[in-house]
Amino acid sequence: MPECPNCFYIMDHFDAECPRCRGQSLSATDRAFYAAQKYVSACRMSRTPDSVIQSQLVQAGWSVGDAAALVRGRRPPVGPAASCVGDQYWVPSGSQLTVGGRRIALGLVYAGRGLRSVLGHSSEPALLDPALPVASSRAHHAEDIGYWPTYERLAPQQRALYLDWLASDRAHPQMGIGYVFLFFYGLERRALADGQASPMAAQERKAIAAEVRRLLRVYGGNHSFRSYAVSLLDAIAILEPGAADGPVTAPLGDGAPVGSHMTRFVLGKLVSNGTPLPWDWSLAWWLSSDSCRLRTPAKRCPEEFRALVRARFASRFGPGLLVKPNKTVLTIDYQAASPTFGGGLKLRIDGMPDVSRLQSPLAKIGALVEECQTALEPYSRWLGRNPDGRGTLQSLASLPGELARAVACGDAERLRVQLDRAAEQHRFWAMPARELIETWGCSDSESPSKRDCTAICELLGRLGYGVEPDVRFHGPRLTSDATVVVFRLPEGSPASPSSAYTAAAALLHLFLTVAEADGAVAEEEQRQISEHIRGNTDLSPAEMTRLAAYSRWLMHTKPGLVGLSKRAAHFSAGQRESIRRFLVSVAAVDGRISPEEITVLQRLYKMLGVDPDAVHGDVHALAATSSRDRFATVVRADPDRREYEIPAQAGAPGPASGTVELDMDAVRAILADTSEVAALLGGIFADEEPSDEAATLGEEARIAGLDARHSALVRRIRGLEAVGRDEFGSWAEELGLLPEGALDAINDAAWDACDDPLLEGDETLAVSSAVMEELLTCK
Amino acid sequence: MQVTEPIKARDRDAIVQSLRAGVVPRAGHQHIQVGRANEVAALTSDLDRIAEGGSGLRFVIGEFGSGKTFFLYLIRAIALRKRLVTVHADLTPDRRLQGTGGQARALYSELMRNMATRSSPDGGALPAVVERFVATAVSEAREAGVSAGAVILERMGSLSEMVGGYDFAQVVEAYWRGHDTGSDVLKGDAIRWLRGEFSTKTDARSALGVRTIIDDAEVYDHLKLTARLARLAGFGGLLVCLDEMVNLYKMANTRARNGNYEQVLRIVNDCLQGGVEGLGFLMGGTPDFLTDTRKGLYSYEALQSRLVENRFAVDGLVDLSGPVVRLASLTPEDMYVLLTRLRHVFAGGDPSLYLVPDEALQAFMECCSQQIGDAYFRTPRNTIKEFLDLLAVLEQNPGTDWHDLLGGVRVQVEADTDLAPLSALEEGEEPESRQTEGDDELSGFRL
Repeated sequence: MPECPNCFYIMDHFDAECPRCRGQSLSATDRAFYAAQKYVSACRMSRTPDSVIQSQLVQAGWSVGDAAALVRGRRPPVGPAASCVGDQYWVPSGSQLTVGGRRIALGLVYAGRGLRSVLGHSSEPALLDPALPVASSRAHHAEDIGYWPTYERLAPQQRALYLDWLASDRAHPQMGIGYVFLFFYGLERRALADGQASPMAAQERKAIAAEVRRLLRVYGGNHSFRSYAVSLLDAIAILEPGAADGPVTAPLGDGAPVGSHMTRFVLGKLVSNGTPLPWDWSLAWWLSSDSCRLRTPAKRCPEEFRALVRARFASRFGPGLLVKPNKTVLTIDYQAASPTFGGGLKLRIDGMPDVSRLQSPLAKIGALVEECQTALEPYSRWLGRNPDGRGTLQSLASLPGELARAVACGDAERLRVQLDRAAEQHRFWAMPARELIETWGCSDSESPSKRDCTAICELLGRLGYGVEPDVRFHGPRLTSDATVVVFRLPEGSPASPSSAYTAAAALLHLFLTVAEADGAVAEEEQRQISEHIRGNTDLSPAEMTRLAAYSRWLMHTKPGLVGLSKRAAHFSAGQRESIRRFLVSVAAVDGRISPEEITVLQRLYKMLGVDPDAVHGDVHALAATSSRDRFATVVRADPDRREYEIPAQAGAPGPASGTVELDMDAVRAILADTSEVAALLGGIFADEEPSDEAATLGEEARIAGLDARHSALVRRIRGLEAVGRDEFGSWAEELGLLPEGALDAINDAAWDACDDPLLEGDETLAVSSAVMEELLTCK
Repeated sequence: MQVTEPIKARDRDAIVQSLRAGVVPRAGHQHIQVGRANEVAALTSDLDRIAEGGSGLRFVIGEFGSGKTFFLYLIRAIALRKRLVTVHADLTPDRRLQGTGGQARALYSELMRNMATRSSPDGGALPAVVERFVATAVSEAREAGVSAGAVILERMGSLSEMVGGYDFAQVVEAYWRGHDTGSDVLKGDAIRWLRGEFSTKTDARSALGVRTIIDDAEVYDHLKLTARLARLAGFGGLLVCLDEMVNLYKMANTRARNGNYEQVLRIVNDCLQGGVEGLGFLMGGTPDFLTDTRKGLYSYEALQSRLVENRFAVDGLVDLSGPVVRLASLTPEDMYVLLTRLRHVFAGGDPSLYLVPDEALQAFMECCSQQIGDAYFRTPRNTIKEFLDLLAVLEQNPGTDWHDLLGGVRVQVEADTDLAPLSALEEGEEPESRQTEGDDELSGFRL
């Protein structure tokens, strides 16, 4: 049949004029289209498969998308106004094409021949060139295709693998990350390079972002891919029209990961609106900054970490951190994954400040975050030893207070309700220690270890209650048959005794012991005790409350001075001397020493292992020196203070026999001057059996100058390649060593012996086998 | 030169990566130290004296880019090998020796965070030092069958006479108690206190039962206490490295500046008179910081008279016995040796792996010299970076000829940002922007 020589239109018969082109001259686009159309129908006649027609069209220079349209008999939708070079090669989402015999249904790739990179120096790395050979057998998934892959440089087997992946649902979890990157290159170019020139490409950004998010779900485990992908998502979100005016969500609000670009963008947005930075974006700022140093606590317990940052941020900065806008304009320095850009792009966002350059707000946030990490360290370490322990009663003891109150834990709640009920009726009340021990669930419920006792006291502290005796305050350990005194802790209660408290408690103990010498503690004596407590200006109100609880426990339990002589045996002569002097001066505070006091002193001397007759000499020595002058006055007596009576005059008639009258001012003066003695006294009454929790050691050889315990620890590590820090810590503690110190000492010995450390690393300590070998031969 | 000694991969990577990023490496300084043998020897003997319980103080003075920081790191590395404990920090507008708004405490915290021992050279060694001391007390107590807490207090008794010593001892004892009772909270609080991280006395009291905190006024006193602790823990002593002292010079407020110089004077007096035990200071700064009579150390009369240098030590004559060590700039010969060292390090210590022959080094130097003149060896940071970049390219592209690459060498003169106008810095915001804002990237566009 005849054909129009101008537009190749097949006419029914020879006419003077072609009905399609009417003999007019054609535009180049039209001519090309008509020629292609003719080619397609010719191929159809010879029963050539569509895929072959399509690939031949592509070889002739048509983009893959256009070729696909031509095969389907449609005119390619190329509008000259809305196109850029990339448009002609891009296969949009949902369009099909066939390359290398694979039907790729999902689109989102560049295909065709001749597309140059954005930079223009080489061909586009992500371009699927149908002319390149594809093998019938595939390369292995895991085979590394190196950095900066390009489709062009792939081996035919690798192309087969890549095309099969593209033709599949693109979610094979074992797919080599290089291929995923190759696919990602195309998405990146489309969104950022084409997206700037072509409105059509800009409209596709949403679909591209969705695809990137999908890839992240599958391949996000790869750090490198994750960071590039998140960064692309950021850039797409920032380029979104109206992004600068849109609402600010939380960085983790909709589950989309947020990178440093987005963080800087949102910070700029908040600051330029004069909105205080909320906790989550402040944290995101710090996390994306150079000063970000996340330590184990934040990594091991991310939930708790965020909760703590949130709580402390609120208490420190209220609604948020107010930052003044700065002048530097925000420029997003986008580092492209694809080599097509030859580096990256700069996205300058006029009118938006680059808050990330400000140092002082960041320093404030950093300090807060660091504080939170430190506060979580005990909990994190506990969790390391008890990985399944989240949310249990035991975990509460090491959680920071703010979090402990928020954790829902049935046992803790029951305990709290029980204590709250009791606290409504009493300020102090006694309860059997057994109840606490059983709630806690110690391994040895008869006499829990010191650690368990500490944890019980800490737990009650978290719930707002104090216990006496408390091992942290030199109290004895709890036993199941003991009675404890419980009280509501005032705000800001200490968790550790001050030396004033230690001394006051020791003195109280002595005092009660002496007072009890004649049987019961008289009312008058009880009154004196409470005055003793209230009159001590060195104590904070919270400490006074605790001391009051301690006195009730003393009166209830009457621990006496049992064991004093046993412990006193360990004191050096010098220490014994100091205590002796202290006791005498206590007895002499009222300016005179009565015969009763001498008797009591003699008893105490005996307990201390000192000759009781030495009392007379000591008393004389004290009387001979002008006793008052020896004491520096620390706190002047306040005449307006009416809480206790100031003794009328030194040398006035003494109090009724059987009681010991104390001049509290003088006692304070003594205490202030003899803090060392106070510590010793604390030691006397403390539950200080030498810690025998440490394992006893056999007589094995010492290693490289280390002592027996350290040597045992080294032997324990022998043969291991690495050891977790927590594990190392608990081994050290089993041997009665302090973990950090032991690590330093062992490495020090290794340095001495082999000029290299034995153990290195942060969370996991790598053991150098060479050093270990050398060390073991060192005696 | 120890050309045959293999270099550990770890050291090699640390050196190459840091130098390429333009910062001083944290390890392996001995491999790339060039020249300055006398200075190193003088300071090494200082370290020996400190390790024997003496004291020492040196101002390390050098022009911008002359390698002060590198030198301080080197000395610090030597100090660690001599079993000293080191702490180091850069001074900044927010971290000074004296302050009223927490600046001195901030400096102290930074120092303590960076505490290093031979076994933990990267910092964070404070708990280790405390524990080593406690461990000695524990084993003593174990043998004597007494309480470790009492032994700790007894052994630290001598500290009680020093300012802040009583509470310092209490806190160390509290650390032990925390360990003994299994209270990580108490241990953590004790370390926080020792690092100067408690900001109010109330907090310190309720956490640890002590009345004081490490305050702006007591920073130097606590450094002395820490030095004693280090000695009690079995180390030789404490070396304090303070870099970027020029930040004191840059302070605009005369009273605040003099307050800081007063602290410097205290330190100078104590260390030079031997009033402290096992404590040494190294302070790095530029010549302005030292000799400017308007704003430098010389503006403070008492310091000037103590620090003025030997008038005979001029024209190449040196006196390394005074407290001031002036770092001479590198010479072209030093630079050449440095390049050979770098090549050696890059090859992991194996001469058969050298990427360029000797003549390339000279050609490289000529190339740099043509571009920036003497600056290529006086402020070698950029030269070193460029050289390592060159080696990196040669390594990754085997078969490339170094002649071809030499044409692409671009070194820039480094701008001295230390003396940036302070008004902006004083407001605490936007620090120097070192990178030039060249928009040479493609496709920059506006939104």
